[in-house]
Amino acid sequence: MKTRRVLLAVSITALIVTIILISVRAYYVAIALVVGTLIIGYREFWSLIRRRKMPPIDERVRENTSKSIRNGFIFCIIALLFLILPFGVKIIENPNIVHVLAGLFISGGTVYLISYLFYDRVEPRLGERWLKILKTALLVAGISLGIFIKGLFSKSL
Amino acid sequence: MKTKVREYRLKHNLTQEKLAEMVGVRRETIIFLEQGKYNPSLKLAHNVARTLKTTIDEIFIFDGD
Repeated sequence: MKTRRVLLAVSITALIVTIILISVRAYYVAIALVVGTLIIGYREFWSLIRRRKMPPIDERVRENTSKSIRNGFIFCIIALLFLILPFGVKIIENPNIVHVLAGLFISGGTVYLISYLFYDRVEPRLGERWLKILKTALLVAGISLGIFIKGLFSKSL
Repeated sequence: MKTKVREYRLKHNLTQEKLAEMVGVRRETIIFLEQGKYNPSLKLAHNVARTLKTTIDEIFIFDGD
């Protein structure tokens, strides 16, 4: 987030949406939205608390942020496709829109955070070979986790 | 890519934090620049070189050269 104004706008919007969600008793989604907002803006919030100023946004941070947003967006699109399926073909037992939305907010934020930490801290420190191994391991772990989560909610065969 | 950023920074008695502040980047960016693990844009390379009172080709040495 580039400026204090953007951070303020995002925070106020999240707050208004949270109040609306609480008023319609969608508590899980409200909590997930707050957690998601904190995850996405943690660098700015942390810097404001520690130094009382926004962290500098240089080209490396901009690059990493846009790559992380891209990853989060791709994740949300894929997750949405998988989430739309249960409503049509009933893979998941009694799909609950509140839980689905809450899960989407939290996991989207987590994908963004992991991607950012990877590009910011891990990628520059690793050699090409280790980077390939790590990317493969992350891919396998991601697919396994996805299948595990799906297994939790799926009808037992 | 090899760099002489650290050498020139020390010559000017600057800390990584101070150089980062002068160039307008984060300290981590200076750390990765010094280690040659980040390819800066022409603008950033120019800013760093100007801050360290030298030229781009003096502090950034590309492997192909």
